[in-house]
Amino acid sequence: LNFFDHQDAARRSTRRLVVLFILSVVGVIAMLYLPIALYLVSEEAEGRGPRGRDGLPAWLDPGALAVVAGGAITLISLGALVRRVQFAGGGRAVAESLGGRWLSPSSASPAERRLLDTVEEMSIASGMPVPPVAIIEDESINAFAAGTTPANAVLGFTRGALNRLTRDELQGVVAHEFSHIAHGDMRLNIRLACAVAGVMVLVLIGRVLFHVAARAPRTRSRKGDATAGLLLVGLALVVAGSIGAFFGRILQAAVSRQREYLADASAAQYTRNPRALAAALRRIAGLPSNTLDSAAASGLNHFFFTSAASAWLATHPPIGERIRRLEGSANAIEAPMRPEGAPERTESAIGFAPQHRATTTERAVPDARTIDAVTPMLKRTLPPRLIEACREPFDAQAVLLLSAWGSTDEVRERQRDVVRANLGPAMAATVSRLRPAMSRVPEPLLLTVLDLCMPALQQLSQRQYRDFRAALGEVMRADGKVSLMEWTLRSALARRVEVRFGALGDAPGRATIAARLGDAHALLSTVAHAPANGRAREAYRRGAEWIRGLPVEPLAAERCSLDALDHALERLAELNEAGRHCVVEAVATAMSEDGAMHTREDLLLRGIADRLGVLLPSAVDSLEQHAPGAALDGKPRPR
Amino acid sequence: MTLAATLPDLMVAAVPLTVALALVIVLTALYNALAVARVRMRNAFSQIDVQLRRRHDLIPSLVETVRGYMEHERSTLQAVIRARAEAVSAAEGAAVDGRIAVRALAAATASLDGALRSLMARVEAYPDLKASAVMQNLQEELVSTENRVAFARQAFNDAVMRMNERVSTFPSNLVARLFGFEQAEPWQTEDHTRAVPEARTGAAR
Repeated sequence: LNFFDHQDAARRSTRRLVVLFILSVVGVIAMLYLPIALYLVSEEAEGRGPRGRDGLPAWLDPGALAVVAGGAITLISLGALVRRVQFAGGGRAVAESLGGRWLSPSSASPAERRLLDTVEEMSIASGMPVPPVAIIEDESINAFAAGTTPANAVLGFTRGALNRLTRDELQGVVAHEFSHIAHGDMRLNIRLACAVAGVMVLVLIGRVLFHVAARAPRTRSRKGDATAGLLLVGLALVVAGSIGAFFGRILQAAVSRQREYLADASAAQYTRNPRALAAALRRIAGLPSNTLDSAAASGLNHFFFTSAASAWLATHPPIGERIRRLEGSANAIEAPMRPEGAPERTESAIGFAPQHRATTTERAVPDARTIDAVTPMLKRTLPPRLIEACREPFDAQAVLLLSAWGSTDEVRERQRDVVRANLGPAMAATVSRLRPAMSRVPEPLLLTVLDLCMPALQQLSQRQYRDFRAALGEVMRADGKVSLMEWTLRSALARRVEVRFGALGDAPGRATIAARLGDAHALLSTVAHAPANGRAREAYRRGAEWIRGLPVEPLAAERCSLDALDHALERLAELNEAGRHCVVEAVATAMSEDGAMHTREDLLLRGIADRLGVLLPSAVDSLEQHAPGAALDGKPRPR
Repeated sequence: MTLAATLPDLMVAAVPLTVALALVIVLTALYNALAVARVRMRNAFSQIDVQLRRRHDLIPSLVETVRGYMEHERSTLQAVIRARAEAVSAAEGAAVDGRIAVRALAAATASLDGALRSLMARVEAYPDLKASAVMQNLQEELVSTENRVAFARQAFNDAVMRMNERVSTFPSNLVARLFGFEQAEPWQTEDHTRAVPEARTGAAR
């Protein structure tokens, strides 16, 4: 199962939907024109036909048709725009419009803590930025994912889901929502909702016209004519709009139901525990009513785990059918299950297993073993005080600053001054307090630690983030050079945090790989030269197999630098999804040419993937090798 | 028939309709911005609330630890306990039905700050106590919680300022009046010396 395949499938179905939608708009226009056509035909029959329209059938009046079509299209697009504006704030706005309260790890009621742990495990295992989690104070059991890309996604859970589900069940629900994020379902949903809202505008306007006409004084005949006309137009709008919206809804519901099945299936695949998700569904089915008590929810139905409002056109498949399918897959999974203690798959999350031509991004799908390993691994490897710090908005900044901390006393002194001057003595003290813990973190785990910090950083106000970012920049520059770690950190921040502060967008662009060959060449050459083992040409050639049309020879080593890499990545970020996919695969392949993945290469790969918005899972199993005591730097990662 | 006569009228009617719809778009955007600002503010407040609660939870164990050493400082301890009780009830009353009234909470927190400060000053006189691992741990916890409170307060004040900006400036002030969005109160600290320097309240950028 490939993440990108699903994205492609989602894109294909989007295209089909666009066609269907255009058809329905045409239908709406035809329906609006119908009364005019009837009128024209009746005029013709009475011999009062319009003058001088040679060759055109009686019912066709191009002027009137243009007015109707133009008017309808304008209104529909404006209506869709209204809806679009409502979604403009991304996932955060959706959660907030439902009255969600952001969960802070420090608030940590045990139930909330458990939810956050589950979300963290899933994020780290899938390589997705840890999304902020909102809680909605409602006793029903429900959950939703919102946002258009993994970077701006948020998750929401009702209080009922927290209190009434077991940990396994909750994990199943979390996996289900993650699947929505990973498969780009939310973008699809938003487009559909906008389209339906656009058509609904016609109905709205028709109703307004009715009201106006009904209240108009009927004194003079000219006005009376106008009133009758308004009534007619209003009626036509309501009828055409309702029929259009009806089909729109059916379409929306049908798509949504398919995505729900897919999300259930993926959740089963991620957690290898479909029974838990089925149990969660069963718990919901056993409840007398599971409608979310919020007026806003009715328009956002398709975001939820189960239908939040009892709509006639269900956006979710019947729960019974979902349970049946899940348990079917449960039986299928359990049959060929590996006996306990049998050798596990040994290929690390990144790297190239020769016989099994699995690709890097294919493994972006989290698997049960990795998910379950995350929390114990973190607890074993990281001091509890550090984990706690990552989850606090204030302390998390210190953790990030420390990841760029210098190696000499002189540099560190300068960095301390920067922190004190920009962020105050309290931050400087926190940095000193956390430094011993942070310096013991093995390098491969640093990115995981940074990932843990991301949700906390989102709690900063815009101004606080700006101050922090400025200070971090100065801390990084304190030693006068950019290290690979710093470069990766900067990429991770750009992708995972700044997107949420609105500094940059991260939706895929439209450029094809053929239009960015020069940049791909520069990128792949830099990657090939990175290990400095004299095998740059071989590595380059291996990677180049992924991209048609690349030059045969890599660039010379002198022309490769992190600056050149930055420049190339800036342009490569404009690639479409397929192009981004190819580039990341090429990079991963080039890196594994010598049969090993070094820490430096791993950092580089992660930085590149982050900049291109490609999800890579944390290599949890190989990270465990780096638990305290294990050998660290330079050694190839065992595979 | 009427239709031929009304068609031009309808075309004229389409113009105000389009304008009206555009207006709806603008109104929706303004309303949403206000609603989001309000939710962000409440979320920012709950961040303070979380930290204050943690701090309130720390105080009983602090009092327990200190009591054994400070036989003669009963009144100081009593003051801390009293101030904590007041702060706890103020925290509970601060956010009732979606409205955030920070003034009472700010005052109660300030008096708790004062009581704690005088307790800590007394601790200096007991080297054994000061050197004990439990005490050092508690002290560190208290300090870092205070840092977090100050920081969350700053974020809250930023959110309040954003909200107030929207409530008071054209054109969203019209929408605000229409839907009953009100100016919120920032968290004023009387004591500037103890907070993070920038945490003075978001009166000015």
